[in-house]
Amino acid sequence: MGRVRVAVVGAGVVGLSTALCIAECIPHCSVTVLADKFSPDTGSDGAAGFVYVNKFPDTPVDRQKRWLKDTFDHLFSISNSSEAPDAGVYLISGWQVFRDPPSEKRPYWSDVVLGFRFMSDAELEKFPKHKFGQAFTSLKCECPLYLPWLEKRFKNANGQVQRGRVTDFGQLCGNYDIIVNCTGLGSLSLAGDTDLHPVRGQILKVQAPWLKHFIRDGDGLTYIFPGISSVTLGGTRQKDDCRLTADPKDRSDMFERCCALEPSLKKSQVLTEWVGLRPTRGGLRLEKEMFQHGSRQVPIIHNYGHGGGGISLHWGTALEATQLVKECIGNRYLASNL
Amino acid sequence: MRVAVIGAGVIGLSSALCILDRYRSSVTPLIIEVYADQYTPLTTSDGAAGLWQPYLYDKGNVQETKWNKETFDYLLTYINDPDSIKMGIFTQSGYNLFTEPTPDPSWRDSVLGFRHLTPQELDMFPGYSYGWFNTALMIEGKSYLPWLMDRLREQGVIFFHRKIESFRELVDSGVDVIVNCTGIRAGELQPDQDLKPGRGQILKVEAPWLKHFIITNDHKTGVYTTPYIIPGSRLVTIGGIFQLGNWSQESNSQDHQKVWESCSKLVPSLKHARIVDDWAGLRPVRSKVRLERETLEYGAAKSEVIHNYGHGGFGLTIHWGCAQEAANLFGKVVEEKRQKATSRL
Repeated sequence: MGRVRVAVVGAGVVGLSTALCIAECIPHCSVTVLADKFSPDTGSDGAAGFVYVNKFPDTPVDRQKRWLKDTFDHLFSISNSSEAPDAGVYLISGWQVFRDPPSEKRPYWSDVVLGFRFMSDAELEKFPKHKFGQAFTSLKCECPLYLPWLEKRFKNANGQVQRGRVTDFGQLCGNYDIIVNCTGLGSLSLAGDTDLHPVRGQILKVQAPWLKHFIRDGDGLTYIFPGISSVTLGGTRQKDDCRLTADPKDRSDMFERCCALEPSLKKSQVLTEWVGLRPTRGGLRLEKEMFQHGSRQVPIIHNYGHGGGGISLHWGTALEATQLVKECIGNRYLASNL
Repeated sequence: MRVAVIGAGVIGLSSALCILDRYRSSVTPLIIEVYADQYTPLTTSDGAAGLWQPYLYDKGNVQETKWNKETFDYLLTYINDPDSIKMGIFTQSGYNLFTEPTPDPSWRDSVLGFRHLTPQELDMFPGYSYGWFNTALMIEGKSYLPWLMDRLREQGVIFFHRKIESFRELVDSGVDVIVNCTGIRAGELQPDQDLKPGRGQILKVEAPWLKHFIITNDHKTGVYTTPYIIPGSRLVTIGGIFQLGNWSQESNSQDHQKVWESCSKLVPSLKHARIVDDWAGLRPVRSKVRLERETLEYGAAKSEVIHNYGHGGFGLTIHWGCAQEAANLFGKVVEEKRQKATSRL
C-alpha cells in the first residue's frame, strides 16, 4: 500500500492544526494544506485568542468539554516551555462578571481552567454594576504567531503547502485519497451547508501594557483581553452580517462599554481595528462523509463550524479529525486486501 | 510653620503630601521644603519593581501590618480612576511558591482573592510543592514619584537639589519640623546601628507575554534571596539578590548571571527575553521601621524631627500608612506648640 495522500483545505487555526496532527500522528501519510488565505489574513488572525467557549446547543456537552480540555492541555504545555513567546501562547488570569447572577454559576469548563472560583465581594467592588463574578486563569493563543509556528512544525513533519482556492471537492479527488474540510465559512459554498452562518465580530486593538487581567462581561458582548503587544477590546455579535469593514458606530460603542469596565482604558492609544466572521452552526460539524466523484467514493472529514471557539477547541477537534482519518485509512487497507 | 522634608523617595514625598493635605488649612502659613540630592528617576523607589507585598510574617509587628493594609486600601481607591496609570497603579495577580507547606501570610486579608494553589498550577513550577495565588497592586516609582511631585508643586512645595549634611544646618536656619526620610543614608545624619543595606540587583527584560508575578520563597535563606519575576507596565523585573551589609550600588556580573539563570529555570520562556537594563539598589533594612519623634536642641535653636526611615524592601508597600502616621506625629507637634502658646498667655 502506497502513501496515503491527504488534502487539508483551509489554513486557519483549525486547518493548520488538523494538518499538523495528521502529519505527526499518522505514518505513511503525505499531507498538503490547500488554502487561498494564510496568516495573517485568516479569520483566526484577528481574534484575541482567549481560550473560553460558549456552549454549542447541538453538540453534547461532554464532547465539547473533551475538545476544550485537549486544547487547554496542549496549549498549557506550550505556555510552560521556552517555545511560548514564539508560539504566542501564555497564561492569563482575570474575571468574568455578570450584572445578574447567571443560572449556571459553575459552567462545564470550570475544572478545565485553572483556579476557578467565585469572586469575593471585595473583588466585585471594582465592577459596581455587576453583582456576580468568576475568577480564573486561562490561556491566550495569538494566531499571528501561532499559525506560522504551526506551519513551521508542519513543514518539519514533511507537510506541503499549496496556495489556491478550492471551489469544489471534485477538484481534489484525482490527486488525494482523503479530504479534510477545515474551511470555516467556506463550507457555505463548498459543502452547501445551510445550517452554517456568519456572526460578525468587530474588535479594537489598543496600547495599554499596564493591563494584565482579562475582563469579560458574562453577556459575551463586552470583553478586554490583554495581549503581547496590544489589548483587544470587543465586541459585537451580529448574526448573518457579512460586512468586513469596521463600523465606526460599533467601534465607539464597544470602546465606551470597555471603558465602563476598565476606566484606565480612557488613556489608552488606539492602534487598529478588525472584523471577523465567526463560522457559526448549531453544532460543530466533525464527521465523515463519503463524496461521490464519478465512480469513486472519496472520504471527506468535515471539521468546521467552530463559531467563536476556533482557537479554544482547535486541538481537540484536530485530534478527533485525525482519529477519523486513521479510521478511513484502516478501512481502506482492509478494503484493498479483500 | 516651616517644615523641611529630607529625602525625595516615596517616603519623603508621600510624607510631605500627607502633612500638607491634613494641615494646610489649620496651620497657616505651612511652608514645606523638600531637600534631596537624588530625585526621581534616580531614587531607590524608582528602581524597585513596585509590587505591593510585605514580608510574609510581621513577627508581632502589627503596626507595620496595619500600615501595609492602609497603603493597599488607599491605592485601591484609585483603581477605577482614569489617572491610575499616570500614578503608576494597576492590578496584577500572581504566584508565591514554596518548597513546603507554609502558614498563610499576615497580609492574606489585605490582598484580593487570596487562595492556595491547585496541584495543576503547581505542575508549572517543578521543585515547588506549595503556594498561594492572589491579586495585588503594582505601584511603579517611576510614575508615582513624578505624580507626587506634581501634587506637591501644585500646592507650593519647593524642592531643593541639595544634600543636607547635618540636622543642625536646618535647625539653625529656623526650620520648625524636620521630616527625616533619608532611607539607607539616615546613618549619615545620625548614627543608627540597626540600619543596614540589603543590597539587591535586578534585571529589566522584555517579556510582554508574562502577565503574572512569580515569587519564590525560601524560609531558610530569607526574603528576596530566591528568584522573583515581576512584570511591570513596560518591562519585566527579575531578581533574587539580598546581601546584607553590602554597600555597593554597582551591578556585578556574578549576581547578573545568578538572577538570569535562576529566573530562566523558573520560567523557561524567559530564555527569549531581551535584557534591557541591570540595576543595583540598597534596601534600607532595619529590625523595624523607625517612625518616631525626636527633639533636637542646639543651644537656643530647637526643632522637632520626625524620623521615617528603615522600610527595607517594602517602602512602596507601606508608604501611605507611614505617611499618615508621620502626619499624626506632626499633628502632635502642632498641638503642643499651640498649647505652649496658649499657656504663655
